[in-house]
Amino acid sequence: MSERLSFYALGLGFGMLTALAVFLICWLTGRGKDRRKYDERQLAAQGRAAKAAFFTNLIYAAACIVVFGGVEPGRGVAMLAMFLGALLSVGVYAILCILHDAYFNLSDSPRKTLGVMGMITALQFVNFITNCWDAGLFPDGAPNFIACTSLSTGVMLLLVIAVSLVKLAADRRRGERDEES
Amino acid sequence: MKNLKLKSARAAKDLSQEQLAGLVGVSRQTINAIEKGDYNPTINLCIAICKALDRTLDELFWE
Repeated sequence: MSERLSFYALGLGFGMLTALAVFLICWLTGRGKDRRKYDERQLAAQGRAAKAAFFTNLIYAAACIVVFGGVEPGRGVAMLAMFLGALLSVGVYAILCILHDAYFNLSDSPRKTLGVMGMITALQFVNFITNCWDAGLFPDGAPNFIACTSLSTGVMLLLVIAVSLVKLAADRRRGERDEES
Repeated sequence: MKNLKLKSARAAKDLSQEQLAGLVGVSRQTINAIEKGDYNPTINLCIAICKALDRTLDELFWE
């Protein structure tokens, strides 16, 4: 097994263990609580956002066919294009949910969620910089997949955080105004 | 169309939008949207709001 592959396996194993630990902590701390989720208006907004995300992905796929002219662009570029399509539709879904107050559920703490999201965003940028430092953005003419995915995920998360903050501030102002009137 | 009857019933009970939302299990924005006429609630939510405000469906939601 090459050194690169063993690091890959190590990272994959560590990631899976972390996911398992997070799942267990959430499951154990959430037991027995009255966990209200989303209300009916939020669920309807999520449905509309999911539809918009689906069509975004379809349009993106069509645009890719036009851009690449129906020719296979090479494995690295194709994988990156696929990842960006998925990321774009997830971003559209998240932002539409935020704009319609359907992103945070009734028992969510936006501050806590945005804090965790901020940490993940920072990690994405650190990952991007270290990968670029090691291998460059376009080693051998093809894009560095890990650096590009880290950068695009970081940018998307940053956008989600920015939209959330603007929306929360606007909601707070509107809420105060509605109560006064 | 704005639901002023709901707004005045809530005010009569001295409840904020946040408090009413907590009583019926929805977000404050949902109560705000109903009052502004931007959202048509389901019959289940209408009943929950009526119970929370001690009013009938006719009083709050019939035009």
